[in-house]
Amino acid sequence: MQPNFGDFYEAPYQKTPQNRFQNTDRVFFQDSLGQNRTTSTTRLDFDQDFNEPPLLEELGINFSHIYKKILSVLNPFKRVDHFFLQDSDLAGPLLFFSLLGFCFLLSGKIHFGYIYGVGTLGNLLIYFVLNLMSTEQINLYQTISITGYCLLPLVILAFCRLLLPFGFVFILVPVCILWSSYAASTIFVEILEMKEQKWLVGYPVFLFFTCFAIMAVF
Amino acid sequence: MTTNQNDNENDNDVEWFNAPVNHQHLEQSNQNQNQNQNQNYPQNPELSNFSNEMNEKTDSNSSFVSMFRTTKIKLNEYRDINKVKPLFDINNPKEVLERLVESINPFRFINNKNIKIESFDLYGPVMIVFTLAMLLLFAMKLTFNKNELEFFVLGKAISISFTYWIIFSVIVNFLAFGVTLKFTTIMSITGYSIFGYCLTLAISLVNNSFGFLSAIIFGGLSTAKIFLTLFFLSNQKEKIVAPAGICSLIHFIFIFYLKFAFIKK
Repeated sequence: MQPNFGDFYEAPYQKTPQNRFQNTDRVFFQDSLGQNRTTSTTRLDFDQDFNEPPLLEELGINFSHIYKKILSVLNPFKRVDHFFLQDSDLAGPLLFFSLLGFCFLLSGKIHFGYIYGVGTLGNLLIYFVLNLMSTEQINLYQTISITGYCLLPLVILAFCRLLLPFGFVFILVPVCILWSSYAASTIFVEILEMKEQKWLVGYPVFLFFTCFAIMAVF
Repeated sequence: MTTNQNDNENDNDVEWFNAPVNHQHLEQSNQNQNQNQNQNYPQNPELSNFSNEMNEKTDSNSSFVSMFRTTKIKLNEYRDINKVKPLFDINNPKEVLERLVESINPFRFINNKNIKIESFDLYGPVMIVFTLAMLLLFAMKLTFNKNELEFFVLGKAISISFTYWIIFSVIVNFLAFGVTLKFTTIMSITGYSIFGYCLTLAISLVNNSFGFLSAIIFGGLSTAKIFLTLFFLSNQKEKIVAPAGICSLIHFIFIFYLKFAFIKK
């Protein structure tokens, strides 16, 4: 006697909406046991697929924007453009973090996991503290992109550590930390509109970059 | 648990943090919930007797069950972000500087003994704890072996600083008899007291010969500050002397642990 599972199978599954099967055709065929079954095959719409925008544009990587952002980080005293407000770009930060990792790799330190951990923890700290302090909101991706772009001076420091002697680098460390923290704090202040609290915004950013500087020196 | 009473009922300009909090009301609601649960789900006679005993125990404030229950209620207050926001709301950076100076300055009590904590924040303590972690990381990097794993060093630094802050504030919260403060104010007091540690570690990293002296000076000043705040804020001044002494002793010993464990020649 065959058990009838029909009641059991119908109950938990909901009926799928019709819109999900727009690009599908239903095919009827017979099983090896002779029972009638149905499957669905996807239909390719070539006209729809090949009229899409190019891949870099779809991912949001715009090289002219990245170039302008790098220039704005290198010139922190210049007035900040609003590229940081418009898009939270993660291509540049990924480049700088990986460059920092490879600079550590050349001096014989495998610090990729360390960079990942410190970056996530520090970005979460900055995100929570700034959102609690200010009346306006900031996105987590925006904080990651800003701190990632402002990591450029520390990449220069890690590269100088390979070539120059230790005494010269020891002078260069506070300069690079202050440079990057000043650049980041100006951007955060302009987004969140809290010019009176610039020192308070700058301090967690300063701590975040000192951790990377300690990594680079030792 | 010490029940929180209103610090200054008579003041008209009562801000949010000194606002009266009716914990009695919350406890009553919790008890009512328990009674309703008992009515809805009748249990075995043995278990029901046990639950009645538990309820009798919770009525007396000396059991652990009531402690955990009250902490649960207090934590549920801060589930909303808008209630946490005023803790981080600082307009001038000078406020933080003044509180940092006050954390090492116990001489203020000689003239003005009727102290009221009018304003506090958690921005300063969080930043101080992270600076302590950073200083410990720097000290470990100078002395420790290079073959040691990196994330282990960082985790050690952050975990020591944060666990000390939280556990010390919990100890102060349970030992302070007659002190009518919220847990967040106690966390701010203990967090600002860690600033003395940061100063001693920074001085001893620059020059280790002044390390022991600076540990005695700054550690002693911050412990005196904690002892005097607990003494003058409490209503029951005969009971507070020994517990406040224990708290200050813990605070004074921990700086020597940090100094001798992490900073070596």
